[in-house]
Amino acid sequence: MGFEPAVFMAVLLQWGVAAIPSRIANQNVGAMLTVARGAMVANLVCALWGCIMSFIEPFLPHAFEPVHWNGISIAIFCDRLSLTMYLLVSFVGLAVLLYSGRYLQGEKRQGRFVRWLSFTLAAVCTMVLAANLMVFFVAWVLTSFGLHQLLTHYGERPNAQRVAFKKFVISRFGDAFLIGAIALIYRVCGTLDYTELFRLIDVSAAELSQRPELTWAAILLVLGGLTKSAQFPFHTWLPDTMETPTPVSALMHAGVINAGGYLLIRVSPLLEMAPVAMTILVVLGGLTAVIGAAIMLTQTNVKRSLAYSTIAQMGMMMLQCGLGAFSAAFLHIIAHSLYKSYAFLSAGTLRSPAISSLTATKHKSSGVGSAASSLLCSLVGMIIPFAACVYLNWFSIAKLPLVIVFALAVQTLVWRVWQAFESPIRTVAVAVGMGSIYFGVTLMAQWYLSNSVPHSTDGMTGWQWFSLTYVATIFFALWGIQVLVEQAPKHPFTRKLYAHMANELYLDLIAHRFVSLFKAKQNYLGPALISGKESNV
Amino acid sequence: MSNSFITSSEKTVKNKFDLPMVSLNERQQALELLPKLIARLAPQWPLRDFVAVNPLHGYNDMNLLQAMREMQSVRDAELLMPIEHYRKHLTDGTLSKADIVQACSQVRERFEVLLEAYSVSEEEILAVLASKADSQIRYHKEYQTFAEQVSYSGEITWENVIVEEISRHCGSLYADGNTAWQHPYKNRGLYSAWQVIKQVDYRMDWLGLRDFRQTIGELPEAPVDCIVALLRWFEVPQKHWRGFLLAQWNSVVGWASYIQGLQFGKTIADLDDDDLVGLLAVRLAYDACLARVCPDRENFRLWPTHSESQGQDTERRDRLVKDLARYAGLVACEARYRQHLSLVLPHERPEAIVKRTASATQMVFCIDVRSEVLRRQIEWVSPDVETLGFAGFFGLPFQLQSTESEASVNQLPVLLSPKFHVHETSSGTGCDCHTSQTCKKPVAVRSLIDQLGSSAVACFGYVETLGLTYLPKLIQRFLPAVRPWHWTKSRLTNDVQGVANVIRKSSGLQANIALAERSTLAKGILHNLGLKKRLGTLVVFVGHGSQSTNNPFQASLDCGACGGHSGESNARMAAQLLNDPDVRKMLRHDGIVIADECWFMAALHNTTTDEIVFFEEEGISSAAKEELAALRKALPKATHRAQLERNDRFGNNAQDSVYRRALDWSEVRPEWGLVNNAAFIAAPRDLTKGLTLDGRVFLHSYDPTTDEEGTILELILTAPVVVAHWINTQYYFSTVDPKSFGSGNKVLHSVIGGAGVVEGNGGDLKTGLPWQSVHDGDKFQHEPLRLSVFLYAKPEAIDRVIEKHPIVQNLVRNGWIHLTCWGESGLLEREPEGQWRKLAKN
Repeated sequence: MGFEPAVFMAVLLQWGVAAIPSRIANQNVGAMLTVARGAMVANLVCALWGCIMSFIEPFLPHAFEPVHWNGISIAIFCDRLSLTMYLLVSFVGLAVLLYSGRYLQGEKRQGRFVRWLSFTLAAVCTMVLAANLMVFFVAWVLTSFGLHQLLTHYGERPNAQRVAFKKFVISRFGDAFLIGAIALIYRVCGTLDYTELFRLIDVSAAELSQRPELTWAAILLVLGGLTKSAQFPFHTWLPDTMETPTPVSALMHAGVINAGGYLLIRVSPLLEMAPVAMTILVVLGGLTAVIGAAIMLTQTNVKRSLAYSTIAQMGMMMLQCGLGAFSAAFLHIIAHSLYKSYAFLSAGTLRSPAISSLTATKHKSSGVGSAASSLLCSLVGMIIPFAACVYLNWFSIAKLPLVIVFALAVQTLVWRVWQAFESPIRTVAVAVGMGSIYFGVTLMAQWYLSNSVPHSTDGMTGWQWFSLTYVATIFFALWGIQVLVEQAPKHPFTRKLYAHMANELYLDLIAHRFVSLFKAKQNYLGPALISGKESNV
Repeated sequence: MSNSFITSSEKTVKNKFDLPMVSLNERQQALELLPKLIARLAPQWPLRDFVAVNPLHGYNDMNLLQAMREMQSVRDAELLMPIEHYRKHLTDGTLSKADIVQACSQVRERFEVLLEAYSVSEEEILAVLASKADSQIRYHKEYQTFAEQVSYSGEITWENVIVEEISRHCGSLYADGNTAWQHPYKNRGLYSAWQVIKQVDYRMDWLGLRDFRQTIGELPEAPVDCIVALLRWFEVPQKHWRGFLLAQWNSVVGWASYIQGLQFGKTIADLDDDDLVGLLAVRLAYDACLARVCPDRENFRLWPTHSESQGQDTERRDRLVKDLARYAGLVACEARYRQHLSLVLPHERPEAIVKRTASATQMVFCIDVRSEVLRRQIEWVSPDVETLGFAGFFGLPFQLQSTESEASVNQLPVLLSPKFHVHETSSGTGCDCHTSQTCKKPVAVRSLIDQLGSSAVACFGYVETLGLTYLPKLIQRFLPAVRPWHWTKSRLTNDVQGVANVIRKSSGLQANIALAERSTLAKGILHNLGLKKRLGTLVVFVGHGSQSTNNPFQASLDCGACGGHSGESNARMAAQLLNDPDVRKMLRHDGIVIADECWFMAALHNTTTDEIVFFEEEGISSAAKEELAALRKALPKATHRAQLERNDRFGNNAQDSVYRRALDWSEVRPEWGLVNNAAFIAAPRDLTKGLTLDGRVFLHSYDPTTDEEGTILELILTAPVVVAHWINTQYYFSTVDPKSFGSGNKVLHSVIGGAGVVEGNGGDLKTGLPWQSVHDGDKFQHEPLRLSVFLYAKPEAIDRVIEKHPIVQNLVRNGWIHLTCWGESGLLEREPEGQWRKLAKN
């Protein structure tokens, strides 16, 4: 062992960089960049070290507590979940710091930018490694603070100020949810340390799950997570955060937005005891995934479309959490972060115009009939490996909704196979192959996190039947929209749907109006302002 | 507060939006006026074909000061540098007092009437330039949109909301096909698509514009009728229609320019089909819907009233003096630059210097200012090599269908229209398929995968399965930035040349045109180059292209003469034509003899790294082969010297950095492009050979002895000079007013489906060059000067061309370009009024 002190020092180092005043940083941009990158490399090495150690000398989740003074303890929690997230954050952080050197060259306040980047990264690392819910909460707030500074980097832009304020207000709601949850947990369990908390849950799960406070705590945790991860109806701040340099978007979409998901996976033993909270996750996560994906399709602004893609993907991740597939959600976080940071950092690359022969599916076996049969094939292809896993007790049957989602997801691909081969058996074979790969990877993630994340193999309960029906309905609806767009783009219904989706379902209007309630000087558009000639001129 | 408003306004405002009927007479008036106004809007091209354009394209019929007054009445824009810029030149000695005095007297001569009308004296202008008093000019345009009046202050304003609405609508119509769910009426006109979709859109209703959706349905179906009806509804007096409508257009000038670019060179028979008219109707409709619910709309001033214009007379005079002072500063800087040039250019008996024997190796470069540096270095390294300058499309106006994409691209200046079609074919690598479908397979697979990432349900599966593969991609992208250069230089060089290598190995060009036509084209190239009688053994056509990564403005660094694309296909096509034995036989009939040993080759000048890559060598004659070997040996040294010179501008001497700049995805300044361009010289290279022109000059080869009929001169003045003028003004205006004429800050850009960029969350499409293209963080890299043209031709010959072509006439008469020529006794410069005057030699 021995990597824990190194990790601790590395995070402290990052905080040290963040403490450099902006004025000095602006004067010595080169040195500032070197120091910040150096600290991030140290973090990356430590994270890698920790992850490798978990294979060489497997250890149980434990807290490393170098500072313990008058009852205040600052500790880091080491298990594969936290160390892998730490690895991810430092990797994305390093990528963003490397990128910012050239990208912002010549900007007057580049040093300040690097400083707040370091601050935010230090806060995220602390949050990921915290061994205590209170420390987690403090780091959570600091992350939001650092991000606020980055969002107002071009403070002279009125839009930047407005959006930062919107995010600020919504984030404080997230804070309130979280602090409420923490208070309730402390009341019931008498501790906020993960180690003791998880031991307590392990020992007296049956007894604890009877306590209504704990259910409320779980619900508040879920709401906090949903706020942080830009989930419906708290999502509208995210697409508007493009008033900040591109690397901040990359960091936000690949490093910060995962905080909500990470929190829920972290406290998954607690969530498992509250089926209501899990169902809320399924409902809101699923809804966000579907709405986000549909809106994403209509956006022509590259960064805005990417933002809706993030919202949808985070929704999917929350849905997985709600279905108890915490390790799958974890995998989704990692994969999405890498994909999205790449997508943002390369947002300046022009995509070549779509090849029309592909977009317009003018194939002899196009049409709804063949779409349906290819869907059937992909369903069969997914169910076979899933059934095998359930039979072998590797998976709980409760994850059945995921099978439906994934079957719908690969349908497009299966359809191409269908068109190429015109043979159901071959098509099913390809689908089974894809399903096996997917479930194989999920199984690996489950094994990787077996010490940190519970996985039940119970049968279906009433809540889960509801989830199954719900997920199947909304994702079939989304799939239906996709087919409709391809087959009948000019139908009055499609046209209406397009207008509303292109307008992001007007949810931003509602959010604006809500946020403006918190402003001393009301300056929100609406009837009040039309008569504003007197007040303004 | 809001509730009380609604109830009170319901009493005062009628619910129905009763538009006045449009009479035929009024419609006719609008039909006459609109085309004139449309001509005032400058075009802009999509990002993939982003060629330089003069943002004041429509104002060529007036001089800079007139254009400024016209434009500033309808748009908040600045056309001159702030006065501090010129004061600084005065204090640091770049400009002498004498320069300024001379410039002031020129300004007085030029604007005599104006000066008298406002009784401004020359001394007063001088005093403004010399004083240190605050001379900031504050003004607001005279014509305004209704939304601007409603909310002049505040964070979100109605103006922002409306511009954002229009911008999104245009984005959904004009973005390329990468958006999965496209606007259902993408192929309809802008106005009617808007009318259909907005009738089901709740946004404006919920923002407070009651009954917006019904109102849209009630608007006339023809945009021209809508415009006239709304002009009547706003009760705009007819003499203000012009300014009022231009102000409306200018509030969404980005998209207006984009649409103007789409329609550039096309004639639209029916104005109702013109999307620019549609855009205007849409903008007016938003304003009207806002005005309709505004209880006190009578108090708004959307156009200047008579009383106002009288009251502001002193203010106007004050502005005029300051503008004249700034203009004098500009004139002084331009004169100083010409002075500097004329000191080094040969004055007397230039004929003696011109050598008319052919060199064994001749390299034809694009006139682009970046070629100047490399040409000079090549000539320094191997003095036997002769270099020539010619528009980079080498006189071959064609459309190229590449194997990479389905759409074909125009490889020619935007001022011309394509004459023939060229196909890129895969050849030589064992892939003997000629059907384009099979060759596009890898592209198709990649595109399918891309589609999965952005389709409704598939995106979830995409991230789960392919997300992890982005880890190696991310690491790979950072290698150019972090690898120490000394052990990676060779690898980087390979990456840089990789692009060209792929082209060279895998494809050929095919054009199905008749032999007669081919020989005409070939003859044209040789004639215009003046090479009919003096061909060497090896003639290399050097096209140019820039290499950068993750740069939406890549096309602005590529060859403008090739429509904003890399120029290698034109070079290859030219070489292919002239090597064709059949063509050569035809040429022989016309008396143009190309020796058997003479061989034409194509090459690409990578303007980021200053390296030259050669294309097809098959069939080369042995004599030419020797020449090529010698050239190949000399080039690396020339490249190295050119790199050093260009790196000076970046302020670092690390020799590797050009390679990193080409490959680094976080680089916002891959190269400086055509920054600092200031002059155009059409003369034999011998007159400029050996001069260090700092990459500021477009060099066109021209020898009047090969041009007895004056056709080449005519061509130069009407095409390359105009293109150079566009480039020059684009850099000029992007520098003097980066906010209005520039694209803003690259770090905040978001691409709108290949059409253009917006800054931050949205707003209007941006036009012009980004801030990073003209500014290095400390200072502007571009010195804004209007183009000075030097021609090695007789004054009478030049005058003939000017008289014949109104475009040139406008540019010269209004001072957008300044002409100088070599006369009998030295350099002569042309006064705007037409006399030629001996250039004073201080």
